[in-house]
Amino acid sequence: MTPLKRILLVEDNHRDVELTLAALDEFKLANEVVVARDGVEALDYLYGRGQFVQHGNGLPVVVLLDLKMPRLDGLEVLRQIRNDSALKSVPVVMITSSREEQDLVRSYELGVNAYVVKPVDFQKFVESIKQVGFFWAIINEPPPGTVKR
Amino acid sequence: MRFAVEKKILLGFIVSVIAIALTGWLSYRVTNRLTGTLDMVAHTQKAIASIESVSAVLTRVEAEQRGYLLTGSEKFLFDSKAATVDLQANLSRLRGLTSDNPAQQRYLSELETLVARRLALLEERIAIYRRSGPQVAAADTSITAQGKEAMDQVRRIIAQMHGEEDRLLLQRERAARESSYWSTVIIIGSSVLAILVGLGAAMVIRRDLRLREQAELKLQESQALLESILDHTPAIVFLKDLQGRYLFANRRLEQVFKKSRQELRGKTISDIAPRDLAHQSNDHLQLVLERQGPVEIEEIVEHPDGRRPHYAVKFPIRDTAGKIYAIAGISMDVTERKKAEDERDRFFSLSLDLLCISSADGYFRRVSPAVTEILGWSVEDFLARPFLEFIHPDDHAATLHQIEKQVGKGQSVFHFENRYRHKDGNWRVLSWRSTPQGDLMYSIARDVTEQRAADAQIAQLNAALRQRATELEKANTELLHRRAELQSLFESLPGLYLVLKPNLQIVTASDAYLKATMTTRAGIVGRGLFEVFPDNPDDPNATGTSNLRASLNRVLKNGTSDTMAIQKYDVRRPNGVFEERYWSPVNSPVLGADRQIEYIIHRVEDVTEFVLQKQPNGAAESSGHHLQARMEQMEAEVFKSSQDVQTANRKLHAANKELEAFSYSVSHDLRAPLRHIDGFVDLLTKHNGDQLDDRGRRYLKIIADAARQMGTLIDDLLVFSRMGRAALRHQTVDMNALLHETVSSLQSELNGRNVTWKIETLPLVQADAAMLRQVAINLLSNAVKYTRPRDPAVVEIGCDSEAAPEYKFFVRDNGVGFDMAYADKLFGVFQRLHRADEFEGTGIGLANVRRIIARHGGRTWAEAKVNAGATFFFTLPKSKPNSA
Repeated sequence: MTPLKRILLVEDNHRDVELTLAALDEFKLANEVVVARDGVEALDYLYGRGQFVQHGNGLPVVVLLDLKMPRLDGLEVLRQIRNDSALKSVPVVMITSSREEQDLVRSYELGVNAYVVKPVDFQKFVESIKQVGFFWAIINEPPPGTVKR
Repeated sequence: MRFAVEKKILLGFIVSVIAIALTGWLSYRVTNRLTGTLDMVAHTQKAIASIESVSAVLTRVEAEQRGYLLTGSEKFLFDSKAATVDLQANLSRLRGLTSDNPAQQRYLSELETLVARRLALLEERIAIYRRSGPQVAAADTSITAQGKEAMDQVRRIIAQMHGEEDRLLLQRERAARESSYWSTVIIIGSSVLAILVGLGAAMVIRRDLRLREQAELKLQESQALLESILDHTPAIVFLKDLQGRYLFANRRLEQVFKKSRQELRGKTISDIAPRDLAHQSNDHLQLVLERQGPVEIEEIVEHPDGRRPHYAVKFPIRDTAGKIYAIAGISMDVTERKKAEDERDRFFSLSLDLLCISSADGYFRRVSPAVTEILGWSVEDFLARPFLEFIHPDDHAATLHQIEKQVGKGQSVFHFENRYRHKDGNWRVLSWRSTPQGDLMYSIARDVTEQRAADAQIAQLNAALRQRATELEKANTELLHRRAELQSLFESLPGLYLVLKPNLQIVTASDAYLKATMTTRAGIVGRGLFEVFPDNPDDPNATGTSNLRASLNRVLKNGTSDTMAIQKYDVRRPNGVFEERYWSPVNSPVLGADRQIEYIIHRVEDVTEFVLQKQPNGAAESSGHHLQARMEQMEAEVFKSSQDVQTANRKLHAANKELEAFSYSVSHDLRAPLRHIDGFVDLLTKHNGDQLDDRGRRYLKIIADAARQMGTLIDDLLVFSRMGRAALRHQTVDMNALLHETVSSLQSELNGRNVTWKIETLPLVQADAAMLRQVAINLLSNAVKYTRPRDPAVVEIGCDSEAAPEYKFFVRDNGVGFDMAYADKLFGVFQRLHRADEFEGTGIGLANVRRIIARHGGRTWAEAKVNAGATFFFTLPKSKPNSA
């Protein structure tokens, strides 16, 4: 089996974090999941600064990014990732409640890799997360320099 | 060399034989002579012996007779007679022996006479003796004297004969000695000579043999060298006898056939190669034998990795007599060369350009098959005739010049064009590049007929264009005149006109407008409208310019005329004082050829007089005055209501903005707690479900269901809201395609139900495709849903295009229908005419349909009877609606 790769989950709502982790757990995706609680923390992790100054060991296999967050929202995080030559190849998947067209359009303009709307139905949510996790963490071949543990 | 040695051996042998024969012959000759000489000596000695014998016998005869005469004994007489016989024999033998010597013969004849006389004398004495007795006989002395004289003569002759024979003997003995000496000399000499010749020949032969040995050694070396060369040559080399049996095979052949030369020796090709290849090889052998000379051929050879083409030379090998005793072959693997040749040939034959090799004799040597494509001739046609025959007579001289340049001066031709006759009789222009090589020219030609025709056409078009340009210039000048006329015409129009660009820059204005606004043309043309006519800064209620701006924006957006309500403008006079004016403006777009707005004409009716007159509202004396006052009042009311509408519009716009923000936040924030409820209920069920009883689990399920239902409602509401807000994107929509796509997308929901679709031919409309798709999905899925109890369900879709100015579409089903009393509730949000456990759904679908159709400027309604099916209608305007 290929080595497992780290997933970065950026989500401000702790309930959503718990549900997402539960969903990832549901299908035994054993990848390490790092949680950033807003956009600033997400960028701190990616640049290995702030509370993540230790990690310094490569990029996650995928960033699961919420759209609406305090301080720095998902679209801004995405914009900064895509504008940075070191980060721009990291796969980013929007996981959001918003079905708003403007959010979709904006995300794709900024170069998001996928856009997933969180369904209210938890089982559907589990299924969505399962497919996203399975594809990005296992099937997809990440860009070079991605951390494997 | 070999032949020389053999010749030498032969020569030596002959010389030796001749020497020995000569020696023998000489020896024979001298020996013969010696023998003859010796015989002569013996002969002479015999003759001497005979002479002495005659003398002795005669003496004995005398002695015997004397003995008788003395004794009278008859016994002596007897012996005398025997001696006389002896004497006679000796005499005749002597005659034989001296027959070769006439002198001796003469002596002999004399001797015989003398002997006979002596003998007669003796007889006489004896006769006397007998008759007269011994005294008488003795007394007779005459006889005795005569006897003695005869005897002396005899003795003298014998002595002479003896002497003669002695001389002969001496002579002959000397001759014999001489002869013997020469014999010895000659025999020894010739023997020595023979030995010398033999030795010489032997030496020469020995030397030659040594040379020959060396030569053979060298021959062996060169044979080894030859063999080594043959073994290392990449070609196959072999030697076969006339029956095709291998006599020799080089290493390459061993490798190809995977057999050693020992194995190959004595075998024929039929023992080794497949039947067809063996035939081929044997045919070649026959060919060589028929031609009695070398044959060059291409053949196929079976290699361990498959068959390969070979190029071979096979030739007869002759012995020294010129008779063929073997066939040799040298065969080269030409796979690579073939491949290269094939590639080159392919390059040649596939070239789109015409490739050819031509000769100074005026014929093509070789042309690529492109000739058929370009000129219609077959390659054979083209090669068969001198190329000038194909060339346009007018181009002959130029072509010959180009050939001369190549063949004569060795220069390449980089660009040359001439005309060739196509097989169909037309002339094709060929563009040539060519380079000479000796007497040959290697050329590439391309058919540029179309290009040249196009060039000619372009030239023609250019000329026409120049002509047109000249005409246009003339027209332009005229136009300028006309324009000046029109300009002055426009400026003198009695109405108030202002012409704007889409960026609201002033282009021109009529004199009346300038007068009314108290401006000059030079003062406003080229400036912005609102720069020239700002709102009165002293009047906080001034709305004139903002209304004008809104109106102009509508014109720009919709491309249609916009009539404004009566506006109050404060027009700044040249002295800076603002004067109150009431205007009724109409803004009309002027569309260019590309349907884009080029200008906006701002036409103004100045109604200041009426409005000002209405305000003091003086007594209306006459009916005319009354009528005028009434009109003015109405105008004022219209003005006021239009102001109200504008205010309401602004509020609506603000409310819309708020709604947008609201729904955005609903989308994000309202769904999150619902998701959490459902998620944690699920987790709770998983983690602690077994601690709850059935009722507890049912409650949890209800909580989750409720949350999900609310999620669905919110989602539906958001979609509905979005339908109202999203900008319409008009495009041409093929309603046929759209409906058929929708039908096929619904197939999965039919669950095997029997549904008959009847779809008429539908028109193309101008609309937002995504939204119309939503309409189609909602209406058709409703039809499917409410016909669930029917078998077969029938859904008809059609359109009435006759009902100008709109298309009237309908979707008819044979479903459960509804009570027309509630028809007005049908299109409301979350309004349902059936229970959720009868027919599922949130009740938003038809609300969406109505909203979408309304936004397209259409209407929606339904007709139905309970249990007798329902028909839903919607209309779409045939032209693009003005506003959203």
